[in-house]
Amino acid sequence: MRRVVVGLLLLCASSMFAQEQELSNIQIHGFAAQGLLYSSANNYLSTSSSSGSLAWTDGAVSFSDQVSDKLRVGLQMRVSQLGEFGGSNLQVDWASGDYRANDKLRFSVGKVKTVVGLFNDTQDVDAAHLWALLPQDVYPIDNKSFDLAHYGADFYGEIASGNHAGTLSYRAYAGYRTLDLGSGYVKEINLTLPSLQQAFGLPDAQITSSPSGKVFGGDLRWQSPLKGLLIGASASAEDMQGSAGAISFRAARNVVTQEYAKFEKGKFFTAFEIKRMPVGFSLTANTAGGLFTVPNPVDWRSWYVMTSYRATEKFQFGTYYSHLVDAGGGQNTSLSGNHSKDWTISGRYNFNPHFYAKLEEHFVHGTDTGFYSDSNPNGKKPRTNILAARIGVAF
Amino acid sequence: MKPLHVCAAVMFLSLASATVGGQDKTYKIIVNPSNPMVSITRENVSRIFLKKTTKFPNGLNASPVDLPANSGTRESFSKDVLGKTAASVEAYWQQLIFSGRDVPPPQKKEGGVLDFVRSNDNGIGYVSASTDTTGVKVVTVTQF
Repeated sequence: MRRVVVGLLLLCASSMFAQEQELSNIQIHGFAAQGLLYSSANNYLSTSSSSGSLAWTDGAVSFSDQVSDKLRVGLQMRVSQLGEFGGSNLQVDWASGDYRANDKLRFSVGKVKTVVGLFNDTQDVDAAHLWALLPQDVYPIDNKSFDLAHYGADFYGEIASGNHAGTLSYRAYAGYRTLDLGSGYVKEINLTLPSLQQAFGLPDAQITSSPSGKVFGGDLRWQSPLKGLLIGASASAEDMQGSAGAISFRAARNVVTQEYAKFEKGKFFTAFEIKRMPVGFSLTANTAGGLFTVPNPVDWRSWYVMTSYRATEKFQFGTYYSHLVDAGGGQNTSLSGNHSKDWTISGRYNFNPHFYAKLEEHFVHGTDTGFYSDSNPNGKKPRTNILAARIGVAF
Repeated sequence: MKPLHVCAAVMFLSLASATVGGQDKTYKIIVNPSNPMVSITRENVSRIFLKKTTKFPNGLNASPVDLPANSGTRESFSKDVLGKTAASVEAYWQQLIFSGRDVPPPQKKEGGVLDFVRSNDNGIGYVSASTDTTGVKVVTVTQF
């Protein structure tokens, strides 16, 4: 299904290129970014950040064609690598057809970026943000390949009710998504498997095919009559299943909720979000003695507040505080492995409309987000300072 | 002395208010002459250029055309009509482009903007206030 959708869209794109008279409608855009991570203690996001790591590269190119007043088709290919995550393979970031019946009703079909909260669908677009790393407790970069997009259909629109009541935007979607083998969730599961296999006397095996699951959800946001103030909420129901040898795993259908608000006026920007993600995760071992299920529930509760100021046309700075606890299974959230608190200061300089640089410092307490046990074989220290720097170009 | 001071103050205030009131916009909004519209609200222009709507208030389709990102006229237009700096507008479009949600209006130099609007019944653009707008129609932008 995925290959068919992507193939059709590639075919559309090729045929569009073949028609010279249509070329004026095609827009081609792209971005590329290179990053540096340097941490005071633990290795972060599967990189060797405590020694300084440049293993953080992103690039994408998009093609979009306004076929008619109502129909637009497009495709974006990307390469993304962060430590062990992603890789050098070219991947389809999104590929969709968008039909605009009117302002109140639009449809998108294909591989569509998933609109959740303020930044989910743009979390990988480094050029669009001040931050080198968005609040990781809400937008974990190691799992972006799973969170970013779904295969399916969206319908959405906007109801403008004039200056007095503001504008209401809605979106609903349904489809499925896959867990990239080079993602954080897969890495976490793979790290859990050996102890379970050993306990049940099962042969070693890792996940070799992408787990997948259904997803459906929606987003409602209100652009208030107070210019610049946006308030919204997203919710999605999702499940996922996969296997590794004789062990299967499953995340029962869970509902993820996110509430948010932002205020933007001139050079000033501020935002906050609250997210709750309870996952009824379990692993089942298929042994000679029967099936044994080991529950491993998580209940991530996170929020952040951020603010920024554009001091000049070229220079912007800001700060955020991000907080997460994992309350799954009634565990002790005061333990450093079950929480994360990240205070961040950041600055960005635009050399010109296309070329920019970012410098950011994170002061992190806790190791629940982004610190992997195999990257830190001598144990994780409860506090880490992280320097994140990026340079990038976008057109 | 007192009447002189009052006179001076009145004259100063009059001059000051005349300067503020007389601050001409550095751009003008243009549409195709076939478009019957004579004025448009700032909010409607903003919604058209940010592609939140594809229609003029009179129901006709709207096809916006923009100036290049480094244009001084675009900077004034962005701040005055869109309520954002040019860099914020650039970030807005990058979010929409790379998430596959939409693409910005085509960008053309002033001559191209005039040609686009002249030859396109649905066209809407803006050019610097000093530009010769023969063959297109200048519309008034109102607050509400």
